[in-house]
Amino acid sequence: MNCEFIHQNINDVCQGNLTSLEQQKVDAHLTNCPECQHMLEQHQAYLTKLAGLQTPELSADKKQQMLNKLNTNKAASSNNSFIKGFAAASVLFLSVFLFNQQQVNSVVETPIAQNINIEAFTTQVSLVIYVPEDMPDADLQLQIPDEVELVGYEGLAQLNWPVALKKGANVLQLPIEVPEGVDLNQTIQFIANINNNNTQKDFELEVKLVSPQLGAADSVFNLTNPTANDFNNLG
Amino acid sequence: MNKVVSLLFGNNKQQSFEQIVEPYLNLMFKVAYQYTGNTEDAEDLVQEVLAELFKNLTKLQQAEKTKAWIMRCLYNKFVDQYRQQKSRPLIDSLDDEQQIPLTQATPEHELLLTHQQVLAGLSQLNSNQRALVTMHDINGYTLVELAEIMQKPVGTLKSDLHRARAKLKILFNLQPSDIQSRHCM
Repeated sequence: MNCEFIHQNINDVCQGNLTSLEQQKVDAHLTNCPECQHMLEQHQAYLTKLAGLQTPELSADKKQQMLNKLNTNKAASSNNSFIKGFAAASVLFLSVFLFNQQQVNSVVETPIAQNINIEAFTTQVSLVIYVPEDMPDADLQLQIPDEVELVGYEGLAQLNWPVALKKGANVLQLPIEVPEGVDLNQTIQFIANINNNNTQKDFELEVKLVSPQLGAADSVFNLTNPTANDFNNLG
Repeated sequence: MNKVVSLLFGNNKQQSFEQIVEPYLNLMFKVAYQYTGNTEDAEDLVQEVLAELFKNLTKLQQAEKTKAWIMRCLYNKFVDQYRQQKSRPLIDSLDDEQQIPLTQATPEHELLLTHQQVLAGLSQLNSNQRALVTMHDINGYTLVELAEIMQKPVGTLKSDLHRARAKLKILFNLQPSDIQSRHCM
């Protein structure tokens, strides 16, 4: 037994965690080594001091609260997924719609010059929202692009739309007016923000303008009364 | 064969997040308190660790040593926070406690002072030293276990622990809040 053993195992020596043989050897060493005696006394005082650190208990309520908070965050994350799904569904719907119109264009082989509309017309943008649960107090904020007007709200650049969303598919119709002289080849962009229980998400919706002559009513889906199958098709 | 069944049908015996972490919540909070020095920060730290663990649920479910995995996550999160909040004192000053007249000193006061003295001492250590002292000298983890949790060689931990102890022993002896020292003055 030497000083090194005591240095290396000082906590065990102080706390009596040695085998009986080790303890005997340590005791024998200590009788002849005042340095180790002093060091052990100091270390024992240090450990006693540390043991005086009191740790409060975590209450059962607090534990549950912590775990519940995670579940709340999970639900919020799920709401984000719903909004992403909403955006994806809307964009996908519009994409399919546009694809259909582009096919019409290609068949008719309309010269580009004829895609400048010569008179104003109105059409509708359908927003398809699919939610996993009822959301009675959702808020939809929509920024209207400069190129078009909202029918009945001419000059309005932003629309705040309190919406009560029901579980499943929801279709919101947005009547817009396309003034004369607007290039129909361009894509216009709606910026939308949906807020539910302080969880919100911004997204962009790109819409290509379509004149009545090109048959907006020929949309591949009837979304006024959507069926589950429609939404399966939408993606 | 079990793996094939698990792949085909999913592992129904896999534990939920709550089932995995609940047995360790008390320990997490206790160590978080020893790291941070106050209840509010300890709760915040545990909450952040839970969120991190929740994000990595699959890894947590597959971890062979769940306790070590959780304690490593707690340590890493504490070190991150310490780096971000380095300038902020972790605990309140002892000045108020020093105002207690000695004639009113009771065993309860002494316990409280010892508690605060330890917190004050720990707050003088860096995050690594604080974690080492807390885990090794208070909670009884071995250096080998700590090497796994803190991802450092045993030799490095040993010298860090030696420095931390030396600093704490000096601080414990110097602090005027020590009742016996004040009686002597």
